[in-house]
Amino acid sequence: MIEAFSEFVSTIGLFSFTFKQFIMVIVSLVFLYLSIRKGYEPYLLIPISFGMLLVNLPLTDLMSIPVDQSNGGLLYYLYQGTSLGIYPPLIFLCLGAATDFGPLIANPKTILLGGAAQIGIFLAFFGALALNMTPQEAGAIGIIGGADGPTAIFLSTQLAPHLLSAIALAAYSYMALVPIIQPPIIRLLTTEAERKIEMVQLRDVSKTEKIVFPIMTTIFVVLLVPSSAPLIGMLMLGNLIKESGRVPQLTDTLQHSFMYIITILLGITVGAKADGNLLLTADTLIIFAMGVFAFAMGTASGVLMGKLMSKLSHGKINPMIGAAGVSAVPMAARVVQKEGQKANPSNYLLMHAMGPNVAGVIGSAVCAGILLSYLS
Amino acid sequence: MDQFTLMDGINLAIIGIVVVFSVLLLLMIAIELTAKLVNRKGETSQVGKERITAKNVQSVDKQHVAIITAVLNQEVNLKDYHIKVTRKKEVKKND
Repeated sequence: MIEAFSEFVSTIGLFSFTFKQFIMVIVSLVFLYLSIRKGYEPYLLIPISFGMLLVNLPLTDLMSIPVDQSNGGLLYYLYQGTSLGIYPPLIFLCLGAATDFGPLIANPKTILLGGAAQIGIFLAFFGALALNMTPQEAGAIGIIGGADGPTAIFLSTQLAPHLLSAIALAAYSYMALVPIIQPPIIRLLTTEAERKIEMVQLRDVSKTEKIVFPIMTTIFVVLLVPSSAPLIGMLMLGNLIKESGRVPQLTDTLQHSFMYIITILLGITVGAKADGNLLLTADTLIIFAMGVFAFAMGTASGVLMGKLMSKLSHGKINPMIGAAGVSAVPMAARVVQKEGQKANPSNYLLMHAMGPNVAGVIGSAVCAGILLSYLS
Repeated sequence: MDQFTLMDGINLAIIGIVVVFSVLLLLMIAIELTAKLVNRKGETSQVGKERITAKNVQSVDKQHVAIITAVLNQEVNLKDYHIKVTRKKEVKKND
């Protein structure tokens, strides 16, 4: 009787709770609070933090690896989609179907702002290297500066899977904090007069141009940086499906149902990698510090490029739109719109900022491809 | 990869930035060329280069005012009307 009772007690998780697991449960509850109560990236942070909660409750074996005849844990199997780099490109497929590249096609020069904002990635990469991280870890950390969650997850799984959860959390946390991080940098680097600049109305973009764009971009980018094919290929396929106008059901599925299914799977499995032993380390602090550095540098370099383009165009470009080059669609563009209206209430910069914003998505995917081809 | 030094890191960062800019620059040129090819008739490529302002509206005749008002109210699309050349000429005359 006593033996049976003690055997039962040994199966109760409460008695196997370690200190690190306890801390991780607290961290997951904080992220749940931020996502639900404060609305910080709730679509991803709710599944991520719940996955974190689940995996840190003792004896659940949700991430256990299959051994001999015994099956692995549920989240272990779901995690294969993340570790094999399947979910992030699928998210890109859905993003492509939800993205309008019209503002970029209407004003192609803004694509350079999307490139400038990626400089933060390489500065953070260099910074992480200087802090004794391995090149692969530094590459995975640097990509946080791209402010593109799926890209950060994709590159982390390929280069530094042990840092996945910390990088994903840092990337999504900073993306949620775009309205707090970017405005001071924008104001610091621009003058009142520059922020007041009104931009000329965008031209109409024909349907043919919108159809040609994803095909042309795929050919160009993949020919030049083949390792960016999973992300760019899926992004452009999604966009072509949308712009073709021939398959509205596919477009609708990608924009809604499929997007949410993959988001749940990606979120919960990323959270499931947040094991206390892996996350509660000094490396996590470095990741968060370098992440915000990358983000700030990306914003700054985008704005500085915007200032250069503004000078060259004799004040026809508002330099603030450079800040939207860090991707983070559409939050970064919204920040630019708000800052523009603060300086000049009749200023409407949203559509102009969407150009560099979507260019940033392409730019960060290209950067991921470059880092992957050099460091893998 | 064991031999990866800070100098290699600097090289990679420089190469990375150059490659990203080259790819995006080529893409920009390709978009511009596509726009020129697709919009050879100039129907859409000219539209919007000139901002529609109250000044412009005053400078054109009543018929054009009606059309531009409709465009501003987003009831119709400017490219549906072949008023571009006339409007530009009249704006110049007034200037």
